[in-house]
Amino acid sequence: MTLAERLAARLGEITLAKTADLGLENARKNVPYLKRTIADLDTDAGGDNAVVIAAGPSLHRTHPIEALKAADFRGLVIAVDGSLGYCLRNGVVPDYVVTVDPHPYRIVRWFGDPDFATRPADDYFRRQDLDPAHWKDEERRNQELLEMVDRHGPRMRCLIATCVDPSVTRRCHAAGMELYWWNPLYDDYDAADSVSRRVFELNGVPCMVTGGNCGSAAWIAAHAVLGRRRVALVGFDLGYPPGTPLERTQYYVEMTQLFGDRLGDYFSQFEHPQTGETWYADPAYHWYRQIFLQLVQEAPCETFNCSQGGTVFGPGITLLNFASFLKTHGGRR
Amino acid sequence: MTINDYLKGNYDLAPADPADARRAPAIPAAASLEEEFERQALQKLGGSIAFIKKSKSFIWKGPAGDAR
Repeated sequence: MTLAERLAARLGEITLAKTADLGLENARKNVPYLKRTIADLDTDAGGDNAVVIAAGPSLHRTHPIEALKAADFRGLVIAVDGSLGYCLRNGVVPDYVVTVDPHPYRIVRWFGDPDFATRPADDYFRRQDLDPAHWKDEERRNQELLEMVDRHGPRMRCLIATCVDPSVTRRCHAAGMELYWWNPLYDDYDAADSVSRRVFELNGVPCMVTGGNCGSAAWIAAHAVLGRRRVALVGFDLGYPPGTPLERTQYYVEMTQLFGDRLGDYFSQFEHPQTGETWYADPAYHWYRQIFLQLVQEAPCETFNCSQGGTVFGPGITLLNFASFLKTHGGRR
Repeated sequence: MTINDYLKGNYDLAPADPADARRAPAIPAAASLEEEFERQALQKLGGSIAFIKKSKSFIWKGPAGDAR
């Protein structure tokens, strides 16, 4: 087992330890906002197809939204929080937006942060390729996003995890989104002192398997909550494209201090079957990838990865050009 | 002049005992360092949110709920 694989193998327990208390605390703070849950959604409405727009770098390499608009897609469009700005800037208002990460101040940026000026100095968005627009003139982009989300919020439903920071809740609520709540399934609900059980007893909200990240949670919501039988993924990379400067990777500062010359050991490499390109996964992406490959075997839907890149391929996943998916499955809802 | 011209030592060493090598720690120092290295790395890492999948269902509606 490589160093990257050994680190990935420990991330489940590490992530639980780092998110459970914060998630439970945020769930308590979010109680006053609980009006609807994912159990209140009409899962029979519409047809069988959905597109999940995740926020990986392939989104900005292949620009799938042009094909989406040209196809007049009639299925559901589900964005993750990190791709919401991309969708709105390009003239697509998603039917749903999914948010789950409990970070205390980063996530609200995806919706436009009203308190941007007072946030701690943070180069998270500048260092990442999640949405390049966010690291070019950040203040102006934040203002633009505030205005777009305010304008289109009433047309969107937010599948919002109870663990999110209340700043995200307030922002989505203020923008006029309908909020449909869910609890992340943290741990074994039959275990003594289970966090999943405690949060359910606190709020009575259904718990959903997360997949460890927002993109995977959106895919799970598409089939397990919204009942879609065919789910296409774009921007769903779980990795870094070839040529990514190391300083644009997550944890660069921390890992450089620790790994120094061994920084290469920290990444796993995956050759994409369609493009032949080598993509890189850090331990977190490696962990997400392993989870996704497990979950896709158990999901009651067909999964089409139309990202044209990334590390997410394997049994149960059909790699397909996005235009081809839309041509075949882009019909009426 | 070399450094050996200056460092002469100021006491006599016991003759090397081959048994000393056999009494060395079972875990080589390098392995311990590797573990410590990984421990430090894990302190910095983490996913967005916890993950578990306990049953076939993706949704849990509580002890009395209907699993989907």
